[in-house]
Amino acid sequence: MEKARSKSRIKELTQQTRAYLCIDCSKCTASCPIGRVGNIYSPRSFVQQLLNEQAPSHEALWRCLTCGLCHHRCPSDVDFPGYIRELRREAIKQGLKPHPTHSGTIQEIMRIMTSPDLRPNRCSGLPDWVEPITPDARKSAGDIYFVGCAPYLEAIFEDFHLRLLDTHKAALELLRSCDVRPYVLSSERCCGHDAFWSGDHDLFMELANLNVETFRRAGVKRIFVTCPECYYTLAMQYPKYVADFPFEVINTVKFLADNLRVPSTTDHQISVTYLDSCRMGRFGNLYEEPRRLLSNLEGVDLVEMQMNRQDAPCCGSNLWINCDGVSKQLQKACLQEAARTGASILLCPCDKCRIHLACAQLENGDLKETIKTENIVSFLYRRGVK
Amino acid sequence: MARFEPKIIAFACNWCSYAGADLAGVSRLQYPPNIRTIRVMCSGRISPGLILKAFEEGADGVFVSGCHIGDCHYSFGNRRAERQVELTRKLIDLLGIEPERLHLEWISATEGEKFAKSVTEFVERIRQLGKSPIKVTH
Ligand code: SF4
Ligand code: SF4
Ligand code: FES
Repeated sequence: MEKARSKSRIKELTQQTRAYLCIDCSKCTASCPIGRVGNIYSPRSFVQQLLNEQAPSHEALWRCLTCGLCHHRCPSDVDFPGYIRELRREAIKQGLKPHPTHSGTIQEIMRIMTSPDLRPNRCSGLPDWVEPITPDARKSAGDIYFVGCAPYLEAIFEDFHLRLLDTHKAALELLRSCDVRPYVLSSERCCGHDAFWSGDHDLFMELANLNVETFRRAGVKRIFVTCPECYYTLAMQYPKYVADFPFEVINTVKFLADNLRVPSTTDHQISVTYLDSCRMGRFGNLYEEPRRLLSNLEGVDLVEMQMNRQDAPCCGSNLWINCDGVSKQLQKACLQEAARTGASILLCPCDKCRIHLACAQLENGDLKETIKTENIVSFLYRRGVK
Repeated sequence: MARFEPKIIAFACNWCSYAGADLAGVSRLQYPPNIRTIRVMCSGRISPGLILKAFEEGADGVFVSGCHIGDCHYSFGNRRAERQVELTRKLIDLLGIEPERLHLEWISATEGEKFAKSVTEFVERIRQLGKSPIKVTH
């Protein structure tokens, strides 16, 4: 792999990621969750290798969680996750692949979704008033709600009892109380987030183009998204890579923070803590919106985790690749940190974080009792907010 | 127009169903040539990822077979297969693919006839359903 990579490409990457500004301070390595709990893993030394025109090993290439903590802390603004993504793109071109989890089920689903004639059904489990738009219908839908892979994940992780569809039911109901009644595109495809970060750029483009084509045909103007990964991908990557992207992508939590007016109907006292999932926080820059929502709630006491906002801990897994003991240790650390706040619920904006944390809880009896997790949107809805 | 010939992947466990398929062969039982059999050590080896991969690569139907409940050579492999097939049915239904395109059958080593019969029926059913809508462009 090293040999095949052209030197000029490495030079390009050095420019693109600003690696040449690295001052060798090792803040990244000290911050990296993988390096902290696992074997020695050093973004610093990979950046230094890059400067010497070498690339990290195949193993190391897939190990990074693309959590972005190193990039956030780097005094020289070296875009390490971006560098990893670019290297993965090269690796994929050469036929190398990461180790998928769950026997590759989720990767297969993503690939199958590139079939143009597929008629998937994204509306199962959503409120009855939500009107689906089928792929052939031409409409001027205006507002749509982008569900994401929750229906699939709910089926796969049914035993975790996380009720992943509740998040989207709640989001839709809350939007409705703000006078937004979005449609759902029944043939919505995977947003392509995982393909993007796994370096499978062709797959990402395939999915993005199919989605955008459906948006266009349905006359979409605004797209409401709750999943932080979908939001990040639609709002920040689609406009960069899809030729014409005239749509407004709106994060549900942000929208609710700006528009929900009616306070909750219950003032039952509860203390909660909040996890700044990476795609919501470090990548989506949405830190204060969820906090604003929570601070408006009667009876809800938000206790911050020691590491919060830009410094938030990692849920230990990403892209459905490479799950192992390191992931479990990170999940354990995250749960324990949340439990130390004394809060009874850990609110997450990202249901994938909840899946990963629940997995650790299922495996390790002691962790089961630590803390419950809930999606922040379903929590709001449950509190009777309108 | 020529009759539609579905492509079918059949997973068969080494200890019962594959032997059942073998028996169908040596007994010269007739069944349609649409199936490509893949031997696995146990039906418990089958996962949604594997079944979906078969669909992704162009299968119009997937036939999973294992030992009868209670007879699995690894005790509970076929119980696991049952759950995995059930889950995969849910997933393909969400993807807009008829769940009937995935079939599970318990076939013992002595049931050559059952193997031939259930494969024949399955091929016919898939012929009725027509081509799978999966055509991966990537
Ligand atoms: S993105 Fe996260 S996991 Fe990857 S090197 Fe940086 S800190 Fe480590
Ligand atoms: S934090 Fe930035 S400057 Fe410091 S070693 Fe890492 S990449 Fe280099
Ligand atoms: S060995 Fe046949 S099903 Fe397990």
